[in-house]
Amino acid sequence: MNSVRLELSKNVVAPGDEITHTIVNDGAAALLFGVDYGIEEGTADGWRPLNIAMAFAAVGLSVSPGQSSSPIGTHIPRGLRPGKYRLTKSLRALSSDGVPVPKAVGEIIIRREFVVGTREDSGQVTDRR
Amino acid sequence: MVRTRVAALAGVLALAAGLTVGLGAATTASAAATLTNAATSAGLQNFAANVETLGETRFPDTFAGAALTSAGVVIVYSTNTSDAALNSAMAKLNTGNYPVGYIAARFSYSKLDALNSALAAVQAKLHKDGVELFMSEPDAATGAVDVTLLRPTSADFARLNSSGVISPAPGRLTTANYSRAVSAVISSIAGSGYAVEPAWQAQPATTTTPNSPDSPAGRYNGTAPFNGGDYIKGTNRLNCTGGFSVEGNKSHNPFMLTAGHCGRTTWSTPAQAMGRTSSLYWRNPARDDFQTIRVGSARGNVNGNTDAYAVVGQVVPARDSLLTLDGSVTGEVHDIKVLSNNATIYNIKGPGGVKFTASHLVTAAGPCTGGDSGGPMYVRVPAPLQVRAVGTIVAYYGLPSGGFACAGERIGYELSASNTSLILDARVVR
Repeated sequence: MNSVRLELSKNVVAPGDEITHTIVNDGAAALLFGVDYGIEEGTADGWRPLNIAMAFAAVGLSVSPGQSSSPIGTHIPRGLRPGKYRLTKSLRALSSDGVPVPKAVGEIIIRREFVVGTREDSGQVTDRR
Repeated sequence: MVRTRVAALAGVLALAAGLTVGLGAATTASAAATLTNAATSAGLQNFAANVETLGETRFPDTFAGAALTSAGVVIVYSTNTSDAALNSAMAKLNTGNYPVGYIAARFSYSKLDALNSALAAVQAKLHKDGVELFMSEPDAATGAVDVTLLRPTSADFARLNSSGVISPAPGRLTTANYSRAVSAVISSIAGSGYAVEPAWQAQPATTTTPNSPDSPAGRYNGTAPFNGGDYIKGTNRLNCTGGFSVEGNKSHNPFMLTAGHCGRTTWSTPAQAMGRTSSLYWRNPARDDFQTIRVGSARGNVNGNTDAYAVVGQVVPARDSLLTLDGSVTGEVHDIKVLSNNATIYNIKGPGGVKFTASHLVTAAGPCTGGDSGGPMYVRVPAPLQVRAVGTIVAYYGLPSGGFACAGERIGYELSASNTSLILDARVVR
């Protein structure tokens, strides 16, 4: 069973929504991560990574064993069409003295699915790709 | 000066249709092919950077920018390709007899920089009018500041419709004509000289996270005198990377640079306490993103993955030349292509939900990740184990073509704002 999981403040969202994601660390090691996240789109051929036009400060955050991270702001890109997606997050385990464990053995990828619905807030513009 | 056109460079020259072009060094097609293979050489990279640095510094009102082609030709964009002083200065730099092409440019470096700053200065006004900027960067080749937008929401459309300055009739805005409408808004607020590009689509990427190589443990146990590139932790629980070691011009005290968004705090490596933030340069009118950490002693080195490099100077890399990223989590990554050397990135997502804008950024098509902030960007020099400082890592973003880019503030702006100088040649300052 995975000892680290990703939680979202909302699992059904609209393009442009601001939600949060939280890392719940039930594992034995502290974890290092950034404020960034990836988004993958569910397609008939599987999960397709999307490249989102967003810049992230390269700062590192951490979460101790048995704790949850502070909620991290998460912008749902404006161009997403309705459908199934998942948020992805890359973490790095920290050793007992707080040093990042090499990626080959220390990297952990966690994901959480969400659904993008339609937003009926304008009617003026139908924003389809 | 001999000016010879080379068939192998036709692709480059085609870019200059209608413009004045000449090659500054005599060469042949076969020589050009050899140069293609040598286009990644440290000597050529340094020459291209020297051209950019000298041009910006001594000829900012004529020189527009430099770029390095894949064929190994350094292109000099200039508003006056016959400027004898500029051309003579470039020739003196060219001790390696590298091929140089001169292309007439519309605007000088100073003008393009001023245009880029003017846009950043009206960001709040543009936001109010429904225009969300993602990035802007001077482009010497096109003679404009390239502006990339965020994809608009219906709220943006509504604000833009009510701004009263758009060219399409209100109510007819679509994603297709949004960029044109924004061009009109920007022109009305900031003037001409901007090339507005459509918002990036959310499109397939090669990866969702940077494919970071490993970084060995050496940099994780930094002790005084501290090197740049050390993994550092703040009592604010943020993790970053030490940048270059600098010395106060008046006090002669040693400092370590890191990113401003890493916050005002007390810093340590996993092995030893370092010191406190001395001055924070972040979210200020200059749109900086760095800080100085007062340390007991510092050395004019940066940590690579397996070696420490002596810092021997500073430089502005030419567009399309190569540099090295050296954040403590991603590690030392060489031969990363420079995308821009004076970009502004808007609405960078920082810690604690803060969004900020940073200017005077070198952007490069390579990976950095959480914890790399403040880490060194540099250009290797032909001499072994020596580098020249470029800047300190600020942010990363996905490229529309896939992959990731890393951005860092230029070292020259950091040194000027903080009234410090680089500690060079592995010298120790206490």
